[in-house]
Amino acid sequence: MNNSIEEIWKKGFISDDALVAPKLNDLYNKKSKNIVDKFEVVFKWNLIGLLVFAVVVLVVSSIQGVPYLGLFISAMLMSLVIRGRKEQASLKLLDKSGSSYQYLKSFDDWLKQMMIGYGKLYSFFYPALFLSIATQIRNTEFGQLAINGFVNEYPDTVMLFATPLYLLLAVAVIASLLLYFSGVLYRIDFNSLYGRMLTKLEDLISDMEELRC
Amino acid sequence: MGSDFYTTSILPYAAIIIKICRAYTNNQQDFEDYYQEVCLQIWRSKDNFKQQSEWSTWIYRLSLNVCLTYLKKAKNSQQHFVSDSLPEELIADSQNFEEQSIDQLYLAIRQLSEIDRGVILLYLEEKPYQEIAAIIGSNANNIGVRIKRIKQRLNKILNIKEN
Repeated sequence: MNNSIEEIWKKGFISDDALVAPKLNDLYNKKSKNIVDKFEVVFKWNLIGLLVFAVVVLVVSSIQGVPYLGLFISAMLMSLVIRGRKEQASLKLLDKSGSSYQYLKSFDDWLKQMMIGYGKLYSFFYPALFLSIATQIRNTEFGQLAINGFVNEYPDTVMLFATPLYLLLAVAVIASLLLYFSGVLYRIDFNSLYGRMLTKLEDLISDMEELRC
Repeated sequence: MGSDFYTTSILPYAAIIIKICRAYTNNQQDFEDYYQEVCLQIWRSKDNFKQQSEWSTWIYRLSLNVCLTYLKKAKNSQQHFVSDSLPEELIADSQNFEEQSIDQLYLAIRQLSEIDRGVILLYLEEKPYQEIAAIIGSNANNIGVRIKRIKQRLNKILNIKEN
């Protein structure tokens, strides 16, 4: 092949009219797979899932006779939904018509800010969820039977709030661990949904950064 | 999307979109999906066009941004455009050498990274370094160096002797 790439390109497109545009099919209903659009769609369904789960938890907990636990968990889930709605609104403000670098960076910045905000919420969410479930179990018949069994086995155990101190300490340690690892847990949760998009975004940005150096 | 908008504002620039989408896809089905996606995003983002640049430049930017970030599972990765997949002996014997060459060039371009594909497409479309830098979000000096490297790579793939 003796032509330069510039010559090949020019000769290949002597007339732009020769390029046939594909037909547009059902564009209104077409599901977008652009990273930002895809993210928006997954994010939206995630919020809908949380909302449905909040309602289900409330109904099931009421039927099971633990309405306060259900109410507490639902309220926490709703706080995640409300936060998510605010993030959704700010995502729509991203400008796709800037330079490629600006566009990718603005999405990446938005993503990081969102993860920081959600990370803070989850650092409260995970331990609170665990503590509320532990408290509820403590107050069930099963919980009381377990405590009675423990006291019978170790009659010298120190009690606090009618609960063995060791048990309270174990709950406190688990809650502390959940608080400490909440960031990691949230990242695992987040990556399971958005991991593929994040990888592609990181690759693109690192290539861009290299180009800018 | 209004058909008027498509006819008046997108179709006259379809060549730009086609050229870019083709560099990011391996088969006709994916190409059509990318093309539709770009058209959809142009229509959705048209209110963001501030007339600070030419409409065609804006279309270049948006097409590249969409192609760079379009997420599509690599289905039928063995498939190629019909004209890309001609056996080598047919390519060599073909009367239509120019057309085969552009297909081979596209095959070579598709071996580049996603960013490099955008850079070389804009270069081949004779966009000045400054404009390429503005579209990609880099600076003109770096673009010049990168283009030189990309051309060397393409020449090597296509077995073109450099001057």
